[in-house]
Amino acid sequence: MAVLTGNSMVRLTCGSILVLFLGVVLGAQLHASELITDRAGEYRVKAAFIYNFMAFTQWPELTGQTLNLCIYGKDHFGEEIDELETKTINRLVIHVSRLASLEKVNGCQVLFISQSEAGQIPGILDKLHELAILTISDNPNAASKGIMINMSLIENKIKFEINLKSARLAKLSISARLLQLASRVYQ
Amino acid sequence: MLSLLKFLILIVIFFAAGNAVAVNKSVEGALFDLSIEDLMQIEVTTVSRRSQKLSEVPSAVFVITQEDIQRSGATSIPDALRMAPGVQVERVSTDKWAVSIRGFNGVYANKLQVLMDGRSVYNPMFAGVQWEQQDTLLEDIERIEVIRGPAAAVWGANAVNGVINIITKQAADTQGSLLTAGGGSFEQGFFGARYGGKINEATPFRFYAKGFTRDRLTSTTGDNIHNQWHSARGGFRLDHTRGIDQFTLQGDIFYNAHGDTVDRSQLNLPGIPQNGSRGHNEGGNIRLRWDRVYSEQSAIMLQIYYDRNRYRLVPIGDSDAESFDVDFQHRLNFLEKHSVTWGLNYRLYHNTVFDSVISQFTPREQTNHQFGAFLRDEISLLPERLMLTIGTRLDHNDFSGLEVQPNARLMWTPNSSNSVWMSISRAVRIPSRAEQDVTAVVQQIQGLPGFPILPVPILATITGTNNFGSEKLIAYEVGYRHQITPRASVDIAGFVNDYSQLRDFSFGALSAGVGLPGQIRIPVTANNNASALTYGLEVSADWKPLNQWRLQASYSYLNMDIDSSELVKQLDPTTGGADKVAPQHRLSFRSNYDFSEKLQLNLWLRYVSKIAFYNIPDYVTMDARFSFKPVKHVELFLMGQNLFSQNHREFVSDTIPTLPGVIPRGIYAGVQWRF
Repeated sequence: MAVLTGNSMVRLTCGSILVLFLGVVLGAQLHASELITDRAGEYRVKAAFIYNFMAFTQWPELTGQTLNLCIYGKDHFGEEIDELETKTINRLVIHVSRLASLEKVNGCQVLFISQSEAGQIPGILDKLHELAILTISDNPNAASKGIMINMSLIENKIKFEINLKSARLAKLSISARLLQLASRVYQ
Repeated sequence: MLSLLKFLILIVIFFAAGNAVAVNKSVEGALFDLSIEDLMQIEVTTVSRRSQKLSEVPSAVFVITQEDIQRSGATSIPDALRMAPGVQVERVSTDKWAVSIRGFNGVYANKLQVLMDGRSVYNPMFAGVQWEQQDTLLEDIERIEVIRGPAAAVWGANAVNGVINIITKQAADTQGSLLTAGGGSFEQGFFGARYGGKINEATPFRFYAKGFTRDRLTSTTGDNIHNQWHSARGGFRLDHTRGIDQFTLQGDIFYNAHGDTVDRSQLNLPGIPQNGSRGHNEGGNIRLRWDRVYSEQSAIMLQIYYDRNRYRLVPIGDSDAESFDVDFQHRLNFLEKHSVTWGLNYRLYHNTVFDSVISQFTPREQTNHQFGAFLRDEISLLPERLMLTIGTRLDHNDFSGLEVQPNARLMWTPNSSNSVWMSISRAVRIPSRAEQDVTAVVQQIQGLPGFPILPVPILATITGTNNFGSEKLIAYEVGYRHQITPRASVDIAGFVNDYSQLRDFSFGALSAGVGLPGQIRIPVTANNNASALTYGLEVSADWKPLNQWRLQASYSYLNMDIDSSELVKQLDPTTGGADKVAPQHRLSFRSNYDFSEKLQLNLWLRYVSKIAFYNIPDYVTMDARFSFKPVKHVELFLMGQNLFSQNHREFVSDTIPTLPGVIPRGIYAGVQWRF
């Protein structure tokens, strides 16, 4: 073997350390779990909350075979929320769709309004006027503006507020268990 | 070489230990199976959420969080900065650090902009940051954002190699009382206290006070450097929210007593004390900020601050400086696809530098004005996939006139777990007042080729000149981020920096010293004849093999080629010889392990390759912090600093030759109580 100079030896060693680091990081794929450290993760948790919100809500009359969850505005959930389609609530299959406009909102049972549409909330709620659609968002003060369930990140944990008045106007019934857990309920 | 092997072996041990305990936990998708009560207990760290927002920024960004600082056991901001890749932090003395990004390090590293809560702490008198003055209650720091590469298009001149933003928590996040105290060998004693309360729901506030004493260092030859450091500091923050408006009033005052010893073998002037000298510096600042948020896309910000500091350590420095700054920013959405931010800035500097045997400023007192304006447009070329950011900043200063600093950045996010970015940017480092106004004896030259051999030393005397202009950089950067799993991510950035018109020196004719017999002086004048090409790579990785175990690693490689006059290459570590001052390799490896909610062990291993200019060999060292929470709200901690290196050298003071110290191993213990 050729004699390595000090410099190339250092490079070689550094190179191997780098490989080690990368190896470790790639190896990490084997250990996946529920740790939440990034924005995508935050939305994975929010998606799980939405699943629960849907499970604790009763619609006045459901005609179809599916519960349609519509996302309006910039989609921060990514593919994660599509996993909901493997779930059922009261034997109804969940269907996730992204809305480019509100024209087809009539087909939605749940409407998630993204942060990108924060400024449009009053207008959107006007359009929905008392349709039996569960409105959910994660915008500051959105529940006070009439959104039925609003999530916010407080001290690293997700809290939610419920606007019961809006839900009643839309003839939706939200379970008492959810109401108990809400950080605030607008009557 | 040996130290590197040691480092490698230790890492392997870390992993071996880790793999022994690593077991597969639950699989993805399990979130949907959790009850809503369980979901409400899941922590989503705000810090990473913010850093994720930062990671949408197309530049090399690293965020040091409050948790990182706390677990590292760092007792100062510069020590905490060692966690960031690409950042070179070397302790020069008890109270002095040399901190730079991507090379050109020095006690007055002049290509790095540093802000504390939006207040620039870059000293335009000497062009650099006096790190001993930049402190706060470390528990109140929310995060430190380290941006590598030019950020001048937003932050203005001198943000050439990077920007460090130190951001403290809002008053609402520091409610309640905190008391901490402890002591040890090098950290001889420290205390910190904070109280946070509310005037009313919309008006939270906090007060803090802290103090410490750190031991003196000994020089490489065993001499006392007389640099024991006593520091006291206090401050407050008051936030007020009213509708869409938020106001912040914040202020600090500090006092440092410190000392240093000029190396008389390098500079032996009459008037330089034999046994070192003691001095003090003190200062304060007050800042008012007003934010009005119309929507997520539209907001305005107005900030005003005043900062003053007095520095007196005869004969090294004796000055009085104040600055006043007004900053305005407006963000708005424009034609749907454009998010535009523009801003205006005015800064006033007023300072007086008193004569010493080493240096004299002419004029002694000066006021300088600086005006800046910037415009940045983030254009979404393909929604959520392709983002182009273009912007420029115009600055006018009294030393080099108008400076234009544009940049263009492109970010491609093919999916939520991958992003690629690239950028081209221009930035300048404007001349300092010292470079124009100083006359300073900086070094004795003896026995250097090109100089006559004389019985008396030749005193190199830097003479300021108006002909020295700004130093320029055009930087090309590229980066890649990959979220491998929710538990593991990697961030890679590479750069090529093309510097032109860097500082070089020319030597004048020998002359007999004025007033002092037996001295021969040679005037040294700065010019812009040097240039440099540097390139490098930084990799950082973050992995949580277990919920209770987190590993963070970073590696930085830097290569510098400098073109300057031969003599300056040997004499000037700040520019001409900067290639031999920058360690080529730097590694950091952190392991944070929670045995239980009560017991934590945090280990931090570092390797830095050699600094040839100062004949400093490479070193490997480790900090370890053991923390025990016997009851809720009380934490006992035991910290070992530099465990693998009793008395290693990190750096040597440039500009003014003071005795270099060796960094000792240190042990300290303490307690923290929150209520």
